[in-house]
Amino acid sequence: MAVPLLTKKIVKKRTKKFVRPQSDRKISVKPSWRRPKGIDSRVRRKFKGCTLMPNIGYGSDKKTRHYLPNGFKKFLVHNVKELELLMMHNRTYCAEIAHNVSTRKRKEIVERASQLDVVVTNSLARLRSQEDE
Amino acid sequence: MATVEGPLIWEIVKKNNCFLVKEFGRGTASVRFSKEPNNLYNLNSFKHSGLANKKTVSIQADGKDNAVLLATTKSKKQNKPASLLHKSVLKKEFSRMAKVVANQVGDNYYRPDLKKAALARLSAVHRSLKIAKSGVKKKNRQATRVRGRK
Repeated sequence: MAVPLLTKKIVKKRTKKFVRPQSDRKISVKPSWRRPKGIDSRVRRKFKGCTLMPNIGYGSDKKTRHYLPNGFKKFLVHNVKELELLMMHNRTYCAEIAHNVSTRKRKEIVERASQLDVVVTNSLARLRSQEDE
Repeated sequence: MATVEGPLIWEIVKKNNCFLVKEFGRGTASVRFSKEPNNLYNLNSFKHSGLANKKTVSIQADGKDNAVLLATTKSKKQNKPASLLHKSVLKKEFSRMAKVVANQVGDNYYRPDLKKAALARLSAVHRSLKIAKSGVKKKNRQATRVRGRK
């Protein structure tokens, strides 16, 4: 397995979702975030004890942004040719095989990845059920 | 590749060409790789581009066992694609291959800026060939070190 170059610890400042205020009261108010804009809104005026609003301060460190928990960045791969692009980047990027790639081609990609020492996130997908039979 | 000046070709080709592989994202999430064989780092940049430079280096597996193909472009045959490449097949042991590559790329002032990239690619290709031949084993992969995260 390739060893990721990332040495910094990945810190997420907040892992909970920001839910839209009053989405618990009415079905028509969905929980996905919308900024409150009313003139009297308690949430907008940031009263004590209100729902928190998202802001740029919650953003991740630039150096660890978009990194997966395994220390790599993700790159979507459809075929062997695209996998070869990662040959020189196998310590920063890991490959993820696209969802619509067949079992036969997945095997080829996984095999080539192990030769190139590229980490594949979903290397076991679609292979497991066949071996069970 | 062509007889037009490199920087001009680069300006035309840099945003879209058939070798470019893009992944959408903003800032550091976006990725631009390039599929040309003579792009040592597979990066979409003028320095590494195989289209926009008169002198390019390509290092690939040669098909036969453990042989590596080193190809450099001839700057005087730019309008003759058939005889464009100066190919040499390397099949000796690794230290000798490395010497040849260092000689042909850096030490004869062909592309001294690509010397390190060429050597890095050579070792990546060589390692993949070695693993392909002997099968995937623990020992010919990099050691899994516990990440020293603070």
